[in-house]
Amino acid sequence: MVFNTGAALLDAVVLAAVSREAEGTYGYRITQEVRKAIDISESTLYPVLRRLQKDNCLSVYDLAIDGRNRRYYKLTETGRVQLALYKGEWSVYSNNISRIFEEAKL
Amino acid sequence: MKKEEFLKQLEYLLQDLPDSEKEEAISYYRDYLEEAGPEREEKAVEEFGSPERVAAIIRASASGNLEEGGAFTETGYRDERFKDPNFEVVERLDLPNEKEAHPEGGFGSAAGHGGYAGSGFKEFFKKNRPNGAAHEAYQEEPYRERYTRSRNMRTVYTHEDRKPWTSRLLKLILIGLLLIVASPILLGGVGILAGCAAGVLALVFGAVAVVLGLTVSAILAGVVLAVVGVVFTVGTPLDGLFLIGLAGIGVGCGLLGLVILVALWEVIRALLALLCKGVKKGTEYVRGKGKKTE
Repeated sequence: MVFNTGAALLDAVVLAAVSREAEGTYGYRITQEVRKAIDISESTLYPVLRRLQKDNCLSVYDLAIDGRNRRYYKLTETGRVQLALYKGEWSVYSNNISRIFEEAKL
Repeated sequence: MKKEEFLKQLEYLLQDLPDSEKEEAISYYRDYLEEAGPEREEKAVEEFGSPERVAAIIRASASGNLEEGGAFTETGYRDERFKDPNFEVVERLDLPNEKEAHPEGGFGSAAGHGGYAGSGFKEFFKKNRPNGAAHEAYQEEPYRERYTRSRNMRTVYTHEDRKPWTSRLLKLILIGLLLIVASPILLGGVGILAGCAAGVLALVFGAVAVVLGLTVSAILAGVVLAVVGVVFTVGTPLDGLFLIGLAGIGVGCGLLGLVILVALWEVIRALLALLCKGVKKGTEYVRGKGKKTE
């Protein structure tokens, strides 16, 4: 990919990935989902998840699985609003960009 | 590197963080590796990068300045601060102007070993770089690195607000150059003025010379004729008287010439005074202008 992904776009992608599970999902799965869309290193979602948590976009809870705790991330109401905002912005942005490219003459 | 080894090193590197921060981070990465499962575990650890790098990521998020340095590039999240130690940051080519504007500034040293290693990055790794300063410009992914740091680098660069360099000598040199460049115009104007003045002076002096010559010759002729007339009056008194009369006319002409000479002298003096005044005023004007420009 030659185009850079900004921090806001990564936030949006992470929120979208988390939003797919109503009961929330955990770090490893979020990373794998995000990696389907953009190529990020496996180590780098931790600060993003933490920031989204600090911004009240995500809430966390621990669930005992196989004798250990698994941390689940869930979308909050704020996160939902934020994701909707990102979706709207992205739709406008990507439509504009796509139109320019479709009208491009090669 | 095995999972346990990685986590142990990570814990060691984060020992100065508050316990809650440290435990949360370590449990995230432990969780992650356990989810990856035994067969993917080693690959995941490899992809994390060194424990130092992961520790740097955790630190940045703990201190809340994650946004400052990172960017998501075509290869994922990149942040100079989170690069492995011993990896020097590669020169940014998209900021050429700032670099040229401060050639002798504080960034010269950074350019020296091929990196705009932002001060943040350097200080950050001073703490956890294991082998100190010995890191040569190891350029793993030069092109990608150029596009990673954006905002942080810019603020670093705008820190140095220099006053525009100036000097009196330079100004004098510039004024001199200006005078040389403008000399055709300046000299043309001055030349016309000087020419006019010289012409007037020459005319006056010429007139003086002619009148002087005529006067002197008239007087001389008068004197000679008077002498000859006196001599002739002895033999032929009428001729003698005629000659004496002519001498009188000559002397009269000479006296008239003297009067004209005196008048011309006054004119010359007046003209010279005018010229002097003009030159004086001119130089004063030029000096005044020079003072204003300085």
